[in-house]
Amino acid sequence: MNLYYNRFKNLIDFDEGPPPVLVNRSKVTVKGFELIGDVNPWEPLTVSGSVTYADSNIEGTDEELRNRPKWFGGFSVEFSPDRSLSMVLDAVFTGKVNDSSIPTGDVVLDSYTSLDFTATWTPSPNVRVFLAVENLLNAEYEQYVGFPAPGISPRAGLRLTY
Amino acid sequence: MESSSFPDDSGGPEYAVLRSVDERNIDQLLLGVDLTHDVLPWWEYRLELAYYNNKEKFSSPGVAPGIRDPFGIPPNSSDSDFKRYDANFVNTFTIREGVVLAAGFEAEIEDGKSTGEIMFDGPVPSDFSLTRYILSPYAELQFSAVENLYAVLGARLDFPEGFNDAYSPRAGLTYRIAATDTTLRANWGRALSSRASSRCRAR
Repeated sequence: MNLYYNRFKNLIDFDEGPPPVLVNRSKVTVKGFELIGDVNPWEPLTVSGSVTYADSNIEGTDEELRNRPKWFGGFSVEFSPDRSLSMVLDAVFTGKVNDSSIPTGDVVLDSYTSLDFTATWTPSPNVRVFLAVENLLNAEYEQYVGFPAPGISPRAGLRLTY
Repeated sequence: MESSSFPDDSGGPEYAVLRSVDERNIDQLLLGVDLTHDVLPWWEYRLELAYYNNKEKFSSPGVAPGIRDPFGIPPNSSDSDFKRYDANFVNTFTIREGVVLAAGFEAEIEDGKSTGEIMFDGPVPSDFSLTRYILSPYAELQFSAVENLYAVLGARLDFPEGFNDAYSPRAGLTYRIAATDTTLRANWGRALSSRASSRCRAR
């Protein structure tokens, strides 16, 4: 568990204006905590999770920093039947965030959870093959207003090391 | 690398009134070399050299006026070239078991220029250039005062060209409870971040 308190002076931030410009915020505080843990209920299986709470405040104004979720967390299950093979299922939760755009004005984006899968096979020390599928459940969400996240996104790769 | 996307603040594919997109063409080069040498059993030094170059050509159709801004963002374009040179030299001295002193010096030079224009009624130049250096001596002492209690004391001075000097102290305590395999940590520090990227500069 981590508790933290950060204070920033002259933090560079986006001011929506008009006109929209980058500004130095005189003083910003961010405080919160992180909880991180993992367990090995069975030798090939690792279950881990984390949750983060971050409360940011621009002192002296009612404005809020954009795109900073108060709550953020993850849950991961890794299965490694042997040293050469690893399969990981990752769930990432992002809480509501403030955002803004010129056509919409200020908005609050919904929280979302995305699920990713990664399989890695290392047949020899020099060869690594991976397959990953992001947004496995085809969740519909936006990290930034008006920009829908891609749907199911598979990718694969081969890494050779010499 | 070439990319295109709806402009920031435009509302993206869902809300953008102007359907043209930003076009970016980026070339990046990153080079680095590290050298570590054990001079004596109690003395090691490390030299790190890094070079980063980012060249970007950018053009944007702008953003149409909307609820939040009755003016919108005019069409604009830029051609920028940014270079960063970084050298870091650090010596690590193991004074005795459990007591380690690191002392070093970092020098960084940033050199950037951008030519561009913003289209109001006619083109308005938006050129700028910046060259600056930061010189930073620093030191850190790690020691164990009593069994399972570890402490870190550090300090860094930054002398950034064109800005006030900055003093960045840090202190940390770590205590390990062996019986429960639990570690308690407390850290405090102050740091300066003056470059475009968000990397903090405390060591």
